[in-house]
Amino acid sequence: MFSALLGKEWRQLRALRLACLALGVVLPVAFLAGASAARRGLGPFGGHAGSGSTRTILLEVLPAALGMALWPLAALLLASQAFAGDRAAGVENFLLERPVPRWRTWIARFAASLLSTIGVAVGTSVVWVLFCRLAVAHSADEWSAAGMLLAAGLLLSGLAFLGAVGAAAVVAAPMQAVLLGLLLSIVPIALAFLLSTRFPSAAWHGTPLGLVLPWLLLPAYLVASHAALCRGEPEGKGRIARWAMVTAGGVAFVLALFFSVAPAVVRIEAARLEEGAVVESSKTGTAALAWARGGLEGGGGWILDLGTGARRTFLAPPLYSTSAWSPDGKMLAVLTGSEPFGGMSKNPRIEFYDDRGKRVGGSASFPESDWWQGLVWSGSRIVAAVSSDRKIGYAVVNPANGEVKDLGFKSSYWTLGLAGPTDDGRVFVARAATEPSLTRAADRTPEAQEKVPYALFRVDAESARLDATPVLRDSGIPWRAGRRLSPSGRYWLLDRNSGRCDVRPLLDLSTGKDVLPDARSDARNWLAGDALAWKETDERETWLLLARPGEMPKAVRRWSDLDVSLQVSPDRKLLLVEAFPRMNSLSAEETLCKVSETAVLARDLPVVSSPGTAVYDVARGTWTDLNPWRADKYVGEHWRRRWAGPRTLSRTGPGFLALEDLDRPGVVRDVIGHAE
Amino acid sequence: MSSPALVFDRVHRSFGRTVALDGVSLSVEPGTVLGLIGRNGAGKTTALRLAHGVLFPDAGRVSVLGLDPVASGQEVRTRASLLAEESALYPWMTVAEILRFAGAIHPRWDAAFAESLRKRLDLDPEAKIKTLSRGTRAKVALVLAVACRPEILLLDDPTAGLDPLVRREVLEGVLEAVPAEGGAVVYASHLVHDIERVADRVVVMDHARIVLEGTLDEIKGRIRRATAVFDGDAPMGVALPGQIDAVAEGRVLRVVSERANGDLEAALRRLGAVEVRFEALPLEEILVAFLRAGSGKEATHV
Repeated sequence: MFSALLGKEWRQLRALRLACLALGVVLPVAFLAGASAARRGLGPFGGHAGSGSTRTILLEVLPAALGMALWPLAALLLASQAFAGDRAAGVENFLLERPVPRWRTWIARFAASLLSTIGVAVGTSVVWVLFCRLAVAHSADEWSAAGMLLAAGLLLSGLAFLGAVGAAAVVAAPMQAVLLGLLLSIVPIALAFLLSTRFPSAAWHGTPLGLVLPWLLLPAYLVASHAALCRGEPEGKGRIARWAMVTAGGVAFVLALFFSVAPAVVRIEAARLEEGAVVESSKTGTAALAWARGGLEGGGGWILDLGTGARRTFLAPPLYSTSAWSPDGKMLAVLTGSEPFGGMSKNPRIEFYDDRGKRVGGSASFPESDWWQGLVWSGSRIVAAVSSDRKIGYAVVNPANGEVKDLGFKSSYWTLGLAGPTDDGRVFVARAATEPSLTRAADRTPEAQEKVPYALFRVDAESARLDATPVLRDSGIPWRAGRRLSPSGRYWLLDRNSGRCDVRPLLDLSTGKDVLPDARSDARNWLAGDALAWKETDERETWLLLARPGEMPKAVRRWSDLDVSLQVSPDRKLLLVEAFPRMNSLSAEETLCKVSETAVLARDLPVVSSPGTAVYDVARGTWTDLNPWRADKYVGEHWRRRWAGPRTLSRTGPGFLALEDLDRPGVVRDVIGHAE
Repeated sequence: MSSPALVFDRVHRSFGRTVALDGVSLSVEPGTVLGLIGRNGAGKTTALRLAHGVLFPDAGRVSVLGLDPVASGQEVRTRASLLAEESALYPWMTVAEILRFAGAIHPRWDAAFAESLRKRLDLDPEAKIKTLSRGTRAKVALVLAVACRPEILLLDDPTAGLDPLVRREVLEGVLEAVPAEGGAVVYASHLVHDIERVADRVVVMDHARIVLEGTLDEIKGRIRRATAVFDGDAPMGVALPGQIDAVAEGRVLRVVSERANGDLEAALRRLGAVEVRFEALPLEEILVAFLRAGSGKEATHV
């Protein structure tokens, strides 16, 4: 019985199949003839010397025409004709009135139209290949590009085919089925676009869930077609209702599945920590914020209980890399664009949480065109940079109610910088006296940008104004003001760059005089008591130098052929020092920088030549060696130890986050995954 | 006693707001021919398609050969055939191809019988369906319907629009093929003469209901026409015993009645009739009387 049904359906599609195949033969001839005529000026708009070459026609235009037009069209027509042709011709009852299970008819129609579509694709491909072989030489790359077009065409044809199968179950004629099939084909594409762009954070291994789930509609189309044609009354009462119910049910199922799975997927994806995590520690050490690295938008994050290592609260992505604990460690300000179900708002907002992970206060947002850039606590307020249209300004946010007060000025980003907060909560703005022109080439040089006259003003956070009188007037790079100010607010690293090595004199703001030490540009590691820590490196050796204002620097450790990184603990009392095998030799510019006299004098310091990790207690001047976890090889930023609290370190890498306490050496507490 | 070949038990079916069958109950015994008469739209086609399982009832029960056509549609369509006025035939097939195709999909197909029928009906096997006349297509449909040896044959006006010769051939083919083998036939038509020739029992349908049912002899014996002559104008608008239809024409009142007996005569005499005659009616006259009564027409003077 089935072979008879299949034979009947196959034969019924013969004319359409042959027409599509004929079109596949005619297309290359027509394209080549058209291009040739255009080149010779025979076209309706005169000569076009640039009209497609034979190679372009055969290897680009024709595959695109086949894959993007002819095959999907053939799929639509063949499926529509197979499933609606008998109805349109008034002979549908022939099979309905006979003892033929309707599912067999359905399968026969499906198979005949699918085989016909495949036949058209194969046949026209063979014709295309023959033309290519005869007419042009070709490279593997060209074949590959054409193959990609044809592969995309196959997918499109499959989509069109299933859309037409779904549509043809409920319309009276094949042409109506073609149009409705086209519409049904667009639905999953539109849904995928909508869900993946509206909810980008609901992703699995980087693939948006919304891009995948809508394709479940395609089997729903088949089920709808089957339900309409093979279930219920043969002559069709309730056919449209069944079809509509299944189709609408398919859409509802996709949406329900998406919205029920998305929240879990968002969490799971964040917890994959593909690129490790970043930990934002508070001074008190009771809680920390850990957020997953990755992507421009940033991953999700967790507020951690450092005591237990438990994850208290999940902060959905995107969680931007701008967050700050209040000085007392009781409140966390984060910049987020998260919406429910992995959604992302265009307009990020500042939200506040307490150290137990509970949402507190209001949330602050600016108009859509504005963007928050940095969050700095000033007493009970947040001072944040707000940028828009390549301009930057500052605003003060009240965490209690989310109220935002603009400081009232905006200018180019290199003319402004935020400094602080100091231990007593003061925040300062370094602001250029005039906005330099960008039009002159001289103004765009690094040297010119480093000589911008600026003044340093204290921010009155309560009244959201700058003090009228600056605490400093100088020349330099205002936008690099961050971390120039000492913890007490008394000392300021100047921008008087004397040459390429970026040596920074230290200014005592209370006296207006320079004081020792002259520090290198990376010497922004402020320690308790306004001490500075930095390193100096020559061709082979690296020194760690420490100095208090007014005192000569002191070299405290020396390494050979190792790269060294420094991290200051949240309470500024400890230094985490990691030494890795040197990955790259110093640049020519770097080797021009002579090490300071202190470093030269410290050449008798014992040299460390093995990678390792140690914590330096600044007050006691003691070193504590730690487990040299992954110190033997620097494998990038993803694998790091970071401060999570005053005496707690985090270990993070792809797939895991763990905590280790300095007071319990060797004990590693897993937070996510398993630390290596 | 064998069970009925077809049973309708208070069957209701509507299409949107249009009621096609309204509480219809009937029964067809094996080996008999039931004539289903009614105007276009009376519900005949719906009844046959319900019996064939291609339509489902909204309410009530249909049983065909002891099977429920809704639950066992395939089995019903294996043992029952439907021959419609305009049978669906693939126009691109030849006669031989469509017979071969039907044979391949029907488990009870009798190829030898089909071939003998084809020859007897003088059908050219190489002729394309689309080139055939309406009458010839009806013959092809007849072969398709009976070559599977149905136990019940449902005929939906298969001879409508055919010339008398073809009608006769088709009818003879039907009658030879089925009842002789113990099968039942339901023959729906508005061609009363055809029904009168072949039916054992008749069901008259009007406005989705059965308005008359019985054997031909019963109906003709029960329903007769009384012609009453009055001295003056015949009375109008009076209710007479068993009255189906009444037409007054001058001094003459013609009454079609289910109780054309002494009661009717007495009633007419009381109205002043000086002469009352009774006469038997052909089926067509009875049908016209029923249909006119069903359309709400009153007795009128002509």
